[in-house]
Amino acid sequence: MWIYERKLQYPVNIKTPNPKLATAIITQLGGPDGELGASLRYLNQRYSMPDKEIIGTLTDIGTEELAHMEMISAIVYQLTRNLSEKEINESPFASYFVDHTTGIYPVSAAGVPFDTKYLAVKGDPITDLNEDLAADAAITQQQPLLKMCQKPL
Amino acid sequence: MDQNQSRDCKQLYAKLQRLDFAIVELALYLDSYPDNAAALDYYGKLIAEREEVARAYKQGCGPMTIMDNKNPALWEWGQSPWPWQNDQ
Repeated sequence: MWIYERKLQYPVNIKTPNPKLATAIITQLGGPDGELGASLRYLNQRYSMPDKEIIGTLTDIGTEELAHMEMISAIVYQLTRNLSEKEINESPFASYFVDHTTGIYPVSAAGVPFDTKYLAVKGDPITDLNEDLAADAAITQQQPLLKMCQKPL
Repeated sequence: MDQNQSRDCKQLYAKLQRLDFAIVELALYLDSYPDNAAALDYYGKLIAEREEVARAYKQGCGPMTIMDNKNPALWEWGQSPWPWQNDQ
């Protein structure tokens, strides 16, 4: 089971809203390489693993991904607070806003809802561990996002 | 909560966040290297420090989990700010 701890794994304190950035960052929640897929992947692959070290690692990283999910959601929440109608309409956040207002819904940057097809669980340790390697290529998945955050939008 | 208490609570909260971050990452290392004596020793030190900070936070600042509601007259768990609300 899990028990909630009333804190983020790392602080999120955003002072200036930015709906355009929110539209990109939300992919880290519900996109093909997002934290939701990551947590489901690891937590569900645990059961068919043959070895204590792997089960322990998958349990702990799967749990940590849930904490990442919360941080990403906090970022999107804070980036879209107190926006004016004009700010929303003039940003790519406008179409997300039509469907979800400022609720946090797991979608990719292109607005595609989260899909379990983003992960694989085959019950075979080698197959699943290879999938984990491919999925957690964090550098690849975060590079475009990091670039976008470093440049003023 | 007076201002001094609020400042102390912020510091305790930040300290707990830092300790837990380190403990989580260290646990991931220990999952793969369970008999690494140096890592286990460091884990023991962090956990001891964490227990003290967590106890001080729960007693003076509010519940961190549903197990920590110390106030018999109020369900503080549901009343305190949530971690993504930095606007209080």
